[in-house]
Amino acid sequence: MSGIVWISSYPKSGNTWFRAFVANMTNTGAKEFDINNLGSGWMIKELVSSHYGYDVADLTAEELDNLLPDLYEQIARVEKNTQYIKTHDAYLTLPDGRPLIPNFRSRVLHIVRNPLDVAVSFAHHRGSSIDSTIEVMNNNNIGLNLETDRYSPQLRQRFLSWSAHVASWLDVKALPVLVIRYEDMQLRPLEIFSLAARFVGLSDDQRAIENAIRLSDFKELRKHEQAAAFHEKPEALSNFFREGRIGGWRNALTSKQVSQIVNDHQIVMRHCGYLSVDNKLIY
Amino acid sequence: MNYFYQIYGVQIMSALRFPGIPEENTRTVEASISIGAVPLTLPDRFAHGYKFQIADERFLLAIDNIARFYIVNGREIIIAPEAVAEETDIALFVLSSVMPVLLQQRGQLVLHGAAFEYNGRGIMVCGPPGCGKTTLMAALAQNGYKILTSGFGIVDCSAKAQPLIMPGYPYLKLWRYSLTMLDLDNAGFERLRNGLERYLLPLGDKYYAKPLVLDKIYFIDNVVAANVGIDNIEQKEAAMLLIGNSYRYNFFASEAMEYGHRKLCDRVVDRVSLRKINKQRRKLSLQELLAVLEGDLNR
Repeated sequence: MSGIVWISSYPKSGNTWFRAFVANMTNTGAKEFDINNLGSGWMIKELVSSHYGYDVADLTAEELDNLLPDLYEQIARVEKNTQYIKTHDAYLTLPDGRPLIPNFRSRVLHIVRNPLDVAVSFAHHRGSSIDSTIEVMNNNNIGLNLETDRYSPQLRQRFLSWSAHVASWLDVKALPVLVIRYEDMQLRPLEIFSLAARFVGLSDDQRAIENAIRLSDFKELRKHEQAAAFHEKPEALSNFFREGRIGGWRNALTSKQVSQIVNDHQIVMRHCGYLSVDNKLIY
Repeated sequence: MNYFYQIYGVQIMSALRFPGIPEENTRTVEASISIGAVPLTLPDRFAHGYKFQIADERFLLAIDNIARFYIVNGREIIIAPEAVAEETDIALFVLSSVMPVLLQQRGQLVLHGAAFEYNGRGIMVCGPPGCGKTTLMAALAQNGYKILTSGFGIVDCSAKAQPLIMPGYPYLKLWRYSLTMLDLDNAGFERLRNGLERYLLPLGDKYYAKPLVLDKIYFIDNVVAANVGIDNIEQKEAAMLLIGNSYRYNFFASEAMEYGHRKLCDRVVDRVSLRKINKQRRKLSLQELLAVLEGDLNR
């Protein structure tokens, strides 16, 4: 299979975990697993400059966005092997109507996680309070590298709110999207990773999948992080892989914070199975 | 009307005016920039990207809403402007994205680097875009040093003796955030382009306008080390770092071009002291970076 597989999620929802699984599935054994060389990452501006042949630092963010659909299509067209690209963008449309991610030879694996657990993990990741993180998760103008007053090597990522982010991917009709839940990845790993592996064009050999699941286990990733600093970890953070368990929010959120998150995101939470019809929290 | 400039040591006659670069009195012409017909494609191209094509010593580049550029034999740049383009924007892209190609065609080593004068010799700092080279140059200028170039550094290896670092533009391109770090108010500076929070900081008498013997190259690296500091580099790693910091390595699209580029890198490895600034995977503050750099130079 060739083309692009987008590994998409709101932050702190299992994106790196799945990328580690892909790295272990595609590792032929010639090299040891390297947490800093997962073979899938962000698109960076320097790569855009290399493809286009000029310095995109001289472009505005909007001009740069306009280059991306054609570039992604070109990558999908010419690369012989599947390109796995991480994104925290919502499914976005440019002002001229083109989707940021074109449908040509592209597919999206989207991972959703309970926003109650996301809030705890994301607050830790941001190094800020849970209350401010709850506000951020309900804000459509939040993302990464959105500052226009400085150069960031990475492209900007526009999350939108947690609800708008997830809903944008659930609504995509133009290209194949498989939505999986973080909780199912933990509770039914073989079934869910097998499903995802088939979708993204990896081997469906059960032993290989079982092995890759084991090697990408949270404890294993923590061990790798302790052995070699993880390049994607924010500077101020002591460790990227922290807890990762389902329902950790029960020991971390106040009832007021839970109510706020549920109030902000109840429609999408219900749709994704995090909230029952009679408003009971499921995980 | 034509304008005459010296850019990275090349005498240029240009139909396009470059604001911020002083005009030269000399009428010697080593390369020209003109407005004219540019081919849509290079039928004999042997490499291409999404918006560029390469055939021997010819390079075709298209920038949407700006212009198409044809760079030939290191001696000629022909520009076909797009109707909507501002002349200042065309000039900006010539300086930032077209000149490096012309210089590569002229056999110069083009690196992601910046350089300043220290005791009559050139000191270069290399690192990927966004690592803080230009902000460091601005801070060095504030500390009294003279700056030769930033953004990309041109190393002339044509002489048998030590390679030379060439002077570039007499200004720095700084983002508003960097100006703030340097206690400078952006209101006093000209924007690079409309809509972009990047400004031109004229170097004035802090610009060093002559080539200098290249004494040292420091690479801003992200290796994990016990301490923030400066290390020597093994020869093999040095060659890899030079290649890694080369401007658009994918432009060396034939074996001959790649071989020629590697020979230039080898020459620098043989003759220039190469050092590595360890950052411990974190962004050093500007003052930390200045302190380790000046500390090493003054040893």
